[in-house]
Amino acid sequence: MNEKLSVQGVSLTFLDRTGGERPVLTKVDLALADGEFCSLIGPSGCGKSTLLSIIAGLIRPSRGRVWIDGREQRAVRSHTGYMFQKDTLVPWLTATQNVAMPLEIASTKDLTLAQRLLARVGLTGFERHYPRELSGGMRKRVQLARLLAQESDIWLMDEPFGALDMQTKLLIQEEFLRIWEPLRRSVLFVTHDLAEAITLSDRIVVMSARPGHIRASFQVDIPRPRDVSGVIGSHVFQELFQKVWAVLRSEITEL
Amino acid sequence: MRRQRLRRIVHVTALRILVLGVVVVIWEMVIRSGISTPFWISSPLQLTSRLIGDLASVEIIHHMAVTLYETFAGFVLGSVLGGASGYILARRPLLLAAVDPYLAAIYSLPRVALAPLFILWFGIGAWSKIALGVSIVYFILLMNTYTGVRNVDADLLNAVRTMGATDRYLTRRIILPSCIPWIFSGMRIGMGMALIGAVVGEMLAGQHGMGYLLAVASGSFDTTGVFSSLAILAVMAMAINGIMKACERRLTRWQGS
Repeated sequence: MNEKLSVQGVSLTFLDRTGGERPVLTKVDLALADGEFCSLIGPSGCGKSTLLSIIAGLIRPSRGRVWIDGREQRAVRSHTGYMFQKDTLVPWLTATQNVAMPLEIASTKDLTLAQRLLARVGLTGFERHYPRELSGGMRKRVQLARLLAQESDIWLMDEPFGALDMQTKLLIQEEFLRIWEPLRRSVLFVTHDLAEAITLSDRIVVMSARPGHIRASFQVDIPRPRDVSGVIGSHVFQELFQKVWAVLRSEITEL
Repeated sequence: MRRQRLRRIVHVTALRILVLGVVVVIWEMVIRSGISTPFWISSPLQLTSRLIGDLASVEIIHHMAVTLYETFAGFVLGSVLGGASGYILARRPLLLAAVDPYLAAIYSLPRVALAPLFILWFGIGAWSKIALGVSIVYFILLMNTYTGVRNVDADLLNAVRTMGATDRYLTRRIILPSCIPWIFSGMRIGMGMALIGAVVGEMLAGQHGMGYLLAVASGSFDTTGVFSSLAILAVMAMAINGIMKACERRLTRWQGS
């Protein structure tokens, strides 16, 4: 498989108020194959989200480089799909208008396409609703539809389902796999939920406590298409959970 | 549901009329008992007949129109200038740092104290009142727009940025719309302030407007005339406020109640 994304020696240091240097990331190397689903997991505050922002071009690293499709990433790239934990829907636009926003930016505004995408994430009948009129799970679905509208080849997802309750989360994971598996976009998925990481990804990368660097990488050998509840009960899941948790645990307890 | 609502409206209206009735009765009793006289506090009957007479005259329309014109002109000019300044300062931190102390100095000054200067510069016509209105409205809109721009959800901005949006698109579709509640609450306060500017200006110097009528009535110990002008002013202010509220509700429907 071709390399889609390559992060080479990325470090980031913040200056704190006293003028002291606070390293956030140190020498992060990471590669993502085309069509690969990779989860980033690590203790909170280890710089996972910051790494995503650097890859998206929203933050400049102090050192190191990011390459996407063999081209160095210098500014915000328009083909990067980004999904935040927080709802980043535009509150004064309806669901349809929100989904149509990336289309509008690419000057191909197409409301029927937006409505078709909403139908694809199971939101028929909610086209004219404003975000505040939708439940948390529904708002995530609108964001998924918007991500699909963007036609991006790489999806950066920052704990997208982190704020949802357990049932809603399982449902939306199922939905997400159903949508993603035929598309096979490259995904970098930040999460603090180990079960979620195993269920969704091809590979799990564990980051260290702050200042973050890559600690370990695990292949997830569970065939696709996957069935969320089936995966969680499987033997491979249990075994992998133990192995990844052992590494993750040592990072968390070091704090 | 509907019947209940109707009944409530009837109920509330009856109560409001009752409140008015109580005030009028107490007012009349104060006069009849000799605690005070119509010279100081007018009387319900005198005020009513004066109000009817005033409202029937062409003259009052002229004075109301002058005050409204000054109010709107001060409001519109002050809003546009203040809003634009707030937006620019929010996006240019260095410029803000440079002008901040001077803005703060003018802002802390009671703007009414500038009235003599404006009369000197712009004469006793409408422009001195408009200038006074602008000097008050400007800062309210500046502050509110500035705060609005600074409070735009950073994650939302980043999300739209990663879709490839240009700066112009961000301003037009995200920053300005998300400022609308801030700008509108500033405009609602500003409208009232512009009215204050106009009336105070008219009271200080001039020959037209509700403030002028007030000053003349008070100068000739005509308490009934003062009350009549005040009542008309109050209704004007409430009407303006009502219109502003209706506009705001329409433009911020997405927020819900």
